[in-house]
Amino acid sequence: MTSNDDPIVERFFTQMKQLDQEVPVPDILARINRKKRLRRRRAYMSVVASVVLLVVAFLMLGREKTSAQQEVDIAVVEQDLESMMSWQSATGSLMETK
Amino acid sequence: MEKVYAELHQDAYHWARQCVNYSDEQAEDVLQTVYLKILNGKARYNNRSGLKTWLYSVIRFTAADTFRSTRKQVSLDAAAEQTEEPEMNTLDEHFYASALKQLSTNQSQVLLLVFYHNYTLEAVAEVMGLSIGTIRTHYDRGKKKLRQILEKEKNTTYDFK
Repeated sequence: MTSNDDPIVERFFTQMKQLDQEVPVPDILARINRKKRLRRRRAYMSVVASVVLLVVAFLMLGREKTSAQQEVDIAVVEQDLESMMSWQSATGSLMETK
Repeated sequence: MEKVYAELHQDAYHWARQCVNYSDEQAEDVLQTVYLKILNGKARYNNRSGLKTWLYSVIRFTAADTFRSTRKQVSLDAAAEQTEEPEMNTLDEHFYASALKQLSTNQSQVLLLVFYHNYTLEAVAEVMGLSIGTIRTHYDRGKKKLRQILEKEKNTTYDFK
């Protein structure tokens, strides 16, 4: 131990120490944990957001696919109708000649 | 980490404040960085010195780093901001801080560690990473200078007899 043989200096630091006892000591570990929790929540929210975006993207893709499929179906029906009409007109003209 | 926190947090906070010129905000930042260093394993206790000595040493180096980076930032900002003083809690605190500010950083830190934190000169040498001879010189010169400052203040509002 040092020989703190200076009463003036010693008194200065003793009074300083007493004054510092009134200084509130912040809970740094709680602050760290709060930040960690916030970071974790932010990461969780970004995962949820990307999952929602993926689901929406899949749904929209599916809807586009069904409308495209519907277009194909209409085209097929139209084709069938056209061939039926042409067959009907052909048989009609045959009957007329008879 | 829990042990460090439970046993040494209060003292560590005061030491951090003393290392950053009594700025509460900077002291909190420094201490947070120190605890994160310990939690992430960047600062490891190797049993070569006492736990408190090691922690104080980490705080001192982290505060010096923070101070350096803040000074760099300040030099980029307006010169007026450079003269800004950290906020003091009371007038008394301002007096203690300004008295210590008249010493060199090493002198004030040596005196704080010896008189305020009850360290031996050998332990101070470990905390500051300097030789015992250099520490003794800072101790003697700092003590002499502080006594002169306090004697000058004797007849003012503060009485240090």
